[in-house]
This record gives sequence, structure tokens and C-alpha cells, in this order.
Amino acid sequence: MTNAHAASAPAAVELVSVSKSYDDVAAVTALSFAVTRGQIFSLLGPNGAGKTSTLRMMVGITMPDGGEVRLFGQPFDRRNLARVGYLPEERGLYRRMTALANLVFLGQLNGLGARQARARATAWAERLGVAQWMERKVEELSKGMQQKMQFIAAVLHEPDLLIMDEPFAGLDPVNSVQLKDVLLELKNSDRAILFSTHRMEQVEKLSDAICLLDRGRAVLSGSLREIKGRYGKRFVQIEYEGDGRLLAAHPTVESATDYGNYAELRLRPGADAQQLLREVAPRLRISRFEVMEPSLEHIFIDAVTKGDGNARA
Amino acid sequence: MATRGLRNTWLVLRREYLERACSRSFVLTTLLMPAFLLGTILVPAVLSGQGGSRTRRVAIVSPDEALGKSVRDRLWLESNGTYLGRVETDTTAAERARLTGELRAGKLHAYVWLDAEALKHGDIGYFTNSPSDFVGAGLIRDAVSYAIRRRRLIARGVPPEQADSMLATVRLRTVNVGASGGAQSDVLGGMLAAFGLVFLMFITLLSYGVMVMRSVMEEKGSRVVEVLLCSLTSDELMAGKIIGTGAVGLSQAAVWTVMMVLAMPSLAAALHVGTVHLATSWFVYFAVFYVLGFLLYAAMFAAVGAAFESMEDAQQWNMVIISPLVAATVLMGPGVTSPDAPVTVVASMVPLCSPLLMYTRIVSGNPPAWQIALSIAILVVTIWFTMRLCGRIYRVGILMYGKRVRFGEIVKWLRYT
Repeated sequence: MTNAHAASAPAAVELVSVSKSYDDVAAVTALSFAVTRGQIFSLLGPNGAGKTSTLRMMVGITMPDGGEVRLFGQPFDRRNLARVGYLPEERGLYRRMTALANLVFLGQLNGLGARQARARATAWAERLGVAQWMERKVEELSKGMQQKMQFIAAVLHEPDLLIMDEPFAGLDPVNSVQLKDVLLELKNSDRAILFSTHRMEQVEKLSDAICLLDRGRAVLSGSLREIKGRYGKRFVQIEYEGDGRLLAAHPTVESATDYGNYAELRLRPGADAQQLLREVAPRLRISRFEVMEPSLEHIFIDAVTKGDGNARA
Repeated sequence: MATRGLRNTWLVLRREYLERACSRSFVLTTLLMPAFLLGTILVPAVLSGQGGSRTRRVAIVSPDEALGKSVRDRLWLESNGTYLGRVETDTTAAERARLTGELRAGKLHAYVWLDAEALKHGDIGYFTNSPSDFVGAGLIRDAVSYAIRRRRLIARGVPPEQADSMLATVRLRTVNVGASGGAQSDVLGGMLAAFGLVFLMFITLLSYGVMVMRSVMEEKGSRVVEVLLCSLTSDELMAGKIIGTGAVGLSQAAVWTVMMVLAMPSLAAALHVGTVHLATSWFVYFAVFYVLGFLLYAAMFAAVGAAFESMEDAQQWNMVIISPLVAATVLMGPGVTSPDAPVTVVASMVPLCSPLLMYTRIVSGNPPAWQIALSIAILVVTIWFTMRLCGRIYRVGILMYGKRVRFGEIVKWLRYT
């Protein structure tokens, strides 16, 4: 259903060769990707890769120097921002106002009436278990609590596109799961969700598509399944007894991380894992041999280091 | 888009206004500031004896008893019965030592030494424990001068009644023929009212200008600005913030003005000044010049607030912004006493000073209408340019974190589109 929708409707947000620099330092270079409705999209990258700069351009805080940000199939227009919710990386609430007053004010700025904003904020607060904190001043709330309030502020006006900068940062495991559930629910109600993160495990569990940024450039982008497929099943985990040095020396193996009786191997492109198994089995005592997809972390490191090589070449 | 922008500005403005006007500190300062000011005016007045009815004993020492009595009577009359004189004719050194003893013991407020030597040179000794009480010294000087002149006239053969009529002083009745429409007003009282209003303008402009800066810094520091800018433009945010904070200042000034008008009769009585006429136009012009002055200064304060992250970093720029206001206060005194002096006229056209100085001229004189109009016009044009300039600094500055900003960078921001 999601795919059919993506094909017919315009992307919720689309970046077309967007560039942005600050004081001659390029923050983002020729970046293009699109997020459709009913999709969770992750923007990945190490610190300083340009994630926040990219998100800021999508919500009109800054303007790109080159290229175009299109919202809901139209050229950028602030009017469309009423359909966008934004969760900044650092919490942005008035510290001396109550949580509820903050939410009503921000809801009104996004076009809601005061009463409507109050009712929705209260409903969300109950859902996220922070209802009893609504009349407290923000400065009296814990970080996790403030984070939840900030999240409510972002979704209060029921945006079609939700943009979040590091939404999982600072959340404990229980709250991370709660946020994940809410995000999945929003996705299922046909919203487009985009978030930045440098934590791979969340992305792997949650995302439909990713864009990996390194120094302002996209080094990898597309659907998660397709990207993993592109890397193929070239990773082998092996538990053994014996002399592990012959694993690294085997012609099918490109690189190996050997822990003594456990090793992670990366095979050469086109190499056959069965050949490896056949040839090392007589010489080692093997208790486990598993061929697997690369983890996102592998892909991430691989893509970034390759990018390095290219840059130096 | 325009209506949405207006709604956004209105929402920001309303939050800013309610957040401040309903705060405890606002209520407290609104009530306590007048009490404090009243105290600073009334306490010295009462202490200096001008406002009190405490009798002051003064010894007038002169070998010529008639002269001594003449000084005593005159002093009694001119001080409204506050100075009670005692005439003594013994001018020996022993008597002088005795009087000094009384003075030190506090039994005597002062004594005046009018011996033959002093009269010959017109150099009269006035001995007192309160040498800085210039009002009392003035009363004594006038009374002694009067008595000596009267004696000289009589010595030249003028009959005493004629001498009295020749020396009779006149009363000055001040009539302001300008804005207040021929209303009568006491000079001193009028001056105090003028100073009061101009001071109110200065305090309000300064404190609420700085409040805009603090408010911008708070939004920047707490990153609220990131959330806000997703829903509104920086211009809408800045406009709402400036108007909202300015409105709080205007409300406070209005409350204070009402208090001042209500307290004026009793204040005038306590200070022994006559009726003070407060023209309606003074309050209208107060609003006009406050609003214009505030727009100008608040725009600059907003830009500084946006460019820096802490008060310490902003301090030097604060001083730069405030300096024209401080310069204007220096010219305020001359402005009140001679509102049409060329320096004052020119300074009241300089946009950063004009809110204070043109207003000073309005409440203490009657500047020509064209000068008021010109001053306002220059101010409006300046505000327009300043807003554009500061709006740009604000837009870039509020999203700059983590490094100390240099002047060169701010200039660069102006070129960003």
C-alpha cells in the first residue's frame, strides 16, 4: 500500500541538489533525496556531517544557497510549514512558562485555536504519561520529560511531515520504545517521518529508507533493504577452535577481525562462502558458521572510509 | 500570508505582554518605584527643613539694635515663620564664644555676625552647623541685604515708609502661553513635573530596551527560537517581541503617570511649590516619543541580544547603544531651563537623542510645531533604516551558537540575503 501511494502522490519533502555553506565552509553539498508519506526516513552521519543544517533548511529556518527544497510537491513556501512538525536537537521551550502554556502557544503559532491546542496537548500528555506535569514550569521538568513535551509540540497540529533532529538522544530504553511505537503509528496513518541520528540500531529497526551523510555529501541513499541487498551476503561469523590465521589468509577473504576463537570475515566480491567452509572445515573445529547481511554499522564505516579513499585519491 | 503573519506577530506580542505584565516583579516595581522616587524627593525636602515646620533659632548679633530687629522681622516674614530670630548687641569675643557653644550644643541653628567692621566691608559672617543648606543661607542673605539697604536709605533721609515701599519685592506669576493654553503654573513645580516626565521616559526606554535584549537572549539560549522559526519568520518574531515588550513599558508608564497626576497636589504642597498645571498634550507626546524611541532602541537591543549569548559578551555593545541616551540626559538640565538654546534645538533633532530631548523641550518650553514635526520625521526615517539593519543581524544572529561574535562578522551578516 505504501509503495502504491508513493508512486502516485508527490514526496512530502524533496531535496533537489541542495547546497549550503557557512563562511566558505560547505555544510551541505549537492544533496538530493525524497521522503514520501507512510515512510520513515533516517538521515545518518557522524557529528558535523551536515544533518542539522539539512533539517534546518527543510523547515525554513535557513535557506539553501543552491538547489531547492520542495514541500508536498511544491516549491518552498512558508505556508506549507503549517503541515510540518519540527523537533530540534536541543530542547526549545520557554523555561519559566508551564509546559501546557508552552504547548498552547506553539500550537497556536501552528494555526490551532487555543482551546483546540489545549485539548490536544492534554490528550497527548495522557498518552505519553506526562499529564500530571503539564502545569509545572518547564525548568522544573526532567530532561526526558522536557523531551516528551517537545515531541508533543511537534505533533500537536497533526503535521503530514514530521522532522526530528536526534529524537532518541537522552531517552531511556522504556521511553525509546514508547517513541518508536508512536512513530510507527504515525507512519501507519500515512505521515512522512524523517529523523536524524547517529545511532544505527534504531535506524535498522525502524527505517524504510536512509541517507548517509559524510562531510555534507550523501555517500549512500535509498531504501534500507535495497542498500543491504547491494552489499550482498558477504559477511561471515565463525566460531572455531584451532589456528585462526588461516582464515585471514584464505583467498576468498578480503578482511578479517579475529578474536581467537571467534572471527568476523568479509569476503571478496563474488567469493563463495561454501568454498571457504569446505576448505577450512578439515583444518579447524567449527561450532558455528553463519553467512549474513552486513549490519548498517558495517555499511556506514565502509561507505565513510571509501569516501575517504576517494577524497585522497 | 499577510494575515497569517499578523496573527503570528499578535501571538508573540500577547505572550510577551502577558508573561511580563503578570509577573510578580512587574507588579512590585510598578508599585514600589513611585514609592521609592517619592521618598527620594520628599525625604531630603523634609530634612532640609523646607518642607518641615520645625522652628529654627537664629541669633542676629549687631551693635545697631534697630538693624538687628529689621533683619529678624524680615527673616520671620520670608521664611513663613520658620526662622525665629533673637537680636543681641554684645559683639565681644566672649559673646561670640558663647554663641559658638550654643551652636555646637544644637540650641541654635545659626548666628549672623553684623559688627561695625562687617557692615563697613559688607562682609557678613554666617555661622552654622549646616553649611550646605543653601536655601537657609539664601534666606539669611536676602534678609540681611534688605535690612542694610533699608538702613542706608533711611540714613540718606528717605522716610521709613518710603524706604519700605522702595524695597518691596514683587511676586512672579508664571503663565505658560504655549501648549497649556495660558494656564498658570509655578516655575519650580513645572520644572519638577518636566523633570519627572523626562526621567520617566529615560527609565522606561532604558529598562524595557534592555528587557527586549534579555528576552531575545533567553529565546536564543533555550533554543526556543528554532521551534518558533519553523512556524513564523524572524521579522514576525522580532516585531511581536518589540511591540509586546514596549507595550508593557507603556502600561507601566501609564500607571506611573496616573499616580503622578494624583499625587501632584500633595507633592506640590509638601515641597512648598504652587499649582502645577500638567497639559494633556504632555501625555500625548509622551506616548508618541516613547513609542518612537522604544522602536529605535529596542531594534538595536534585539540585534545585540541575537548576536551574543551572554550578558557579559553583550556588555560593551550595550554601552555603545546606551551612550546617546546618557548624552541626552546630560543635555536634559540645560534643556529644561533653556529649551530654545541652539545646542538643545540641534540635539533635539538627532534621532538617538530626540525622544528624550525633544520631549524635554515640549514639557519645559513651547518648541515650534515644525521642529516637533521635523524631529518626529527624522526619527521615523531612522527607525525604518535601523529596523532593516537590525532585522538582518537578528535573523542571522539568533541561529549562531557557540562562538564569540566579532564586529566584522556582524557586518558580514548584513550582506546575507
